Amino acid sequence: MRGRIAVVVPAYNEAPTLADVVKAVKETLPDCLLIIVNDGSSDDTLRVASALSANYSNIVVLSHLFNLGSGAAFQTGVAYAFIKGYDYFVRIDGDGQHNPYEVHKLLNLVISGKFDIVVGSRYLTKTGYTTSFTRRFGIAFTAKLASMLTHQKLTDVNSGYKVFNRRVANLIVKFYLPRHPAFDFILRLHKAGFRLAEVPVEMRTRKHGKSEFSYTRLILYPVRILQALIRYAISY
Amino acid sequence: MVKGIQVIGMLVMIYLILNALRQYRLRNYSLKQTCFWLILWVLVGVLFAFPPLAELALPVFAMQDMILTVLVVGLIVVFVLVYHAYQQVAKVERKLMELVQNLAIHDYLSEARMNEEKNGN
Repeated sequence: MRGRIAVVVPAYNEAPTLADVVKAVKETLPDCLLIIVNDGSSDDTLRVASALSANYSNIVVLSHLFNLGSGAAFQTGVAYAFIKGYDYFVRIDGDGQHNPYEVHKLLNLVISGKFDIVVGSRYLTKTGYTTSFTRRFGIAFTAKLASMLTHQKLTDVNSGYKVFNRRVANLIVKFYLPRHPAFDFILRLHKAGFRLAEVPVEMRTRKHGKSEFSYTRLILYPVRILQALIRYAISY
Repeated sequence: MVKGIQVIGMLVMIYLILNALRQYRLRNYSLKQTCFWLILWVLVGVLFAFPPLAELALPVFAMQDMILTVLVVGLIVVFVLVYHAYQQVAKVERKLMELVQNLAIHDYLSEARMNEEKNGN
């Protein structure tokens, strides 16, 4: 028995790319439940998502009243699929940067039971993906820190492309802190004894829309990392 | 002799005391919050009225300068208040986020149920 699969697509102002993402997901996983979470978009994302749900079967469109951030949108989608009893959960961003055709590489490792969560890494092999120096530094730093603490080589703890099982979904519904870096959650997973793996994936360059990156986030980032370390040391 | 700054300070404190009582009457403050603000404003008001009283605190903070002591104590109070406000805002933000998330799921489920009922009829 393969189990039921839910794909969560957080979408904030992703009207131009959403149709391609949905098409690719439905071609790759035709029987999956696809949950598009419109995160208070100010463009046509909600209208496009509703139109797509009419054209394809098994699409659910959830909509936040206002923008909460992709982490919160992801959590909403996971919570819905969890309530509906799904066994495996996939996160693919609505901006078209993740390649849905690669999902089986991640999914097979979780379905086989070898790992509880598999993350698609942009840096495990050379893929030609480029980003700003500040982000690259942040990603490399948190990856090194997470590797040291979890005693396993991690290269991309901030990647949004991930697949996990119901046990991890339970943790996401209850304890995931959407405003905190993914690094925080990786540490929590490790401490709870979940098995984590990384798989190399292609990361495309963003064609439309804007990244969530901002200077406020950049300033808060070290504070969040410190908070995560304190939590890791004393409470998890 | 009473200085202008003392009069302004005391008037501001009287306003803040009355405001705390008004907020309690409007049920915006709990009894605990009202007591906290009343004690704080009365203390600051008394210091404005009788500045030499601040000198009593000098040995406590191991300082020689009264103005510096008032500034340091003021900064500590402001820091604590800002931190408390930050905690409250974070708590409200978390609750609001949960509310919006639950509403998104609830709205979808209600709509789906309504559509099912419509199709059933």
